[in-house]
Amino acid sequence: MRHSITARRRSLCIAAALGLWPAIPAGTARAQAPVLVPNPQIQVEYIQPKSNAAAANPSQYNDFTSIYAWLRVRQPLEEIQKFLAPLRLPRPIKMQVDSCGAERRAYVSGGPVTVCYELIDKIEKTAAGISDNDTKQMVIIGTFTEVVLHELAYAIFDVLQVPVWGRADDAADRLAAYVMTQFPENVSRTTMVGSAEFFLVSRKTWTGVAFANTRSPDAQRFYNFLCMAYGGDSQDFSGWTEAKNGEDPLLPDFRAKQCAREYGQVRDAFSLRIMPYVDADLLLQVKAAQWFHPGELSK
Amino acid sequence: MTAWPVMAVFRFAVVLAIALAAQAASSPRALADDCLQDPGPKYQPVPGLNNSGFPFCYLAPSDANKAAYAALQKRHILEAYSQFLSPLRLPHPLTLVALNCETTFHTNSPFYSPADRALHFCYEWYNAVLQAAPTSTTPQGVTRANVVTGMWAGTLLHETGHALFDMLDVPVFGREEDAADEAAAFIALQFNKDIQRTIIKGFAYFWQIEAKEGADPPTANDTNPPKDATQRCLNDPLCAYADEHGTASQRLYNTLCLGYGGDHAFKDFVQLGWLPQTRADDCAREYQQLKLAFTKTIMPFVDTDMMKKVEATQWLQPQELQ
Repeated sequence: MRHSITARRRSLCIAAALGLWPAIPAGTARAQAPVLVPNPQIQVEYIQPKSNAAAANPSQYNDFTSIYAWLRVRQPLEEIQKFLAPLRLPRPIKMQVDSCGAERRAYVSGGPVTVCYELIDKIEKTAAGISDNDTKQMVIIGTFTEVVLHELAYAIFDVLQVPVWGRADDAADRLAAYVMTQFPENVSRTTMVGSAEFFLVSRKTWTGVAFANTRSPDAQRFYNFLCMAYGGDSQDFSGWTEAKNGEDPLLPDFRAKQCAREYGQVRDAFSLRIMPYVDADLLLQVKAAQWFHPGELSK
Repeated sequence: MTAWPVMAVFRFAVVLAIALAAQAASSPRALADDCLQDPGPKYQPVPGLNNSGFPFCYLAPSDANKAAYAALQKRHILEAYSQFLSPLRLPHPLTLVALNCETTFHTNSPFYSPADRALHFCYEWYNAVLQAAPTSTTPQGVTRANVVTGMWAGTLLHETGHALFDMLDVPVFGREEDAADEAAAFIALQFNKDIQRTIIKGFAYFWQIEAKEGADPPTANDTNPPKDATQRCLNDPLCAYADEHGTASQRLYNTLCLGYGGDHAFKDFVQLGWLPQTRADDCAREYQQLKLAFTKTIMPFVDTDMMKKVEATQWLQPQELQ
């Protein structure tokens, strides 16, 4: 039966063939900004980490401070602000990074979208446990992107009054995944695989009342991301459905058969409920732009 | 419990649906030719609920399913459900079929097939629910009648949810299986307290039993993996999560949460320790999310005058609500 390491290696083989992400050194120069005006309805802020009891673990303060410094130099939220330039929002959305005392801070209607230092720290620490340097970078870049888009999805659903069937957190995952599949091919692949890898590596065992959580287990999210990636591009990810060396496929046959339909369902929902708020001309510019730091992109 | 856990068979629904549609398309006989006649006493329809958009059919049961057929036919479950659905304005007829499933489709679980736009209710499911129902009242106050009635009604409504998503091109951002459970719970919660409690409690209890009997993903590797690839996956602590459905426990808590979030009459769910307070705190928001989704995507296709008649009708019998 498949085990995580082999599954992980296989999950990365396609991206590896196309070139892997280099490390993102803190303090590096700002990414080359696409020639797009940031979405005026989206504000961003990096809130300086608090050294008080707000942090779940006070010893994390130094780590958070390092992340804060990195964010201010790299400015990833500003890049998302430009990426979302085509989205016509009827009211402002604020995106912020803050210390939350937990990995997640629930979105409250009208409030800010918060990415927590605790979760960024977890992403970095999880990545640090991965021996393969390329994989490590994919996990950092892919998961950070997923986290921002995931949290932002809650605000988009709220601000645009999007009807959401299914659990909200799964819907946010599927919207984030769909948006990630719309990036240029190399970015899409890296963010999707990097996110899935994170869910695979960070998963814990769930039993009993743990399943009452509004959020789905990482293992479930892992397969949801594989399925969205495979559903969006079954040729590129066909290796995930092949049994090799006596091991079962990474994506089991019964789920793989559903993935094109699952992907199409999100695409149709996006077209119906979100596309009416998207400026088509700006969208073309977004698709043509170079995203992420040049040194961060697949070769 | 059933030989095939429900979780294991639900996933085949779409595959089966396609197979069934292909079989139906190649069959020279129309479905209606094979429908059994009502042996009587005849169903007394609710006045004013025109159900022509929801044809129904009982197909001949196997010997093993004769008792299930007799019980369902006597209860006129398809006739009643056809009328229950009458306020829906769908672009195509939705056919309700009761049939043997295991021999042909290797499942005991009801399913909707988009290819022939039909809800298929398996006679075997009737037996499975009877087996799952408790013989005495549980500490949460769930009776045998709650489970039999609630699970049947919940399943009919769940599969109807799939039909609505398909026929009305409803945008579904979350996972469709959870969405279908939500549709079932929301519709149930539009009726009187007795019906609400019967369906929500019965549906939730069923998933609790499934979880207790091992339907949640395993926590340890299988020392003797089965030869069948699907079963091998389901026995694996990681691969089991590949299922497009939520786990049995997730479905339990999702159902309880919508009941609690939709009506404070369900406060006992928390008091009895059935629904953790941490989840309960989010349930009003979850219900409002669902209400918005239903209002925006389904209600435009509902005849509200007929809906009022449906809501005023006592669909369940007193003994089914005990």
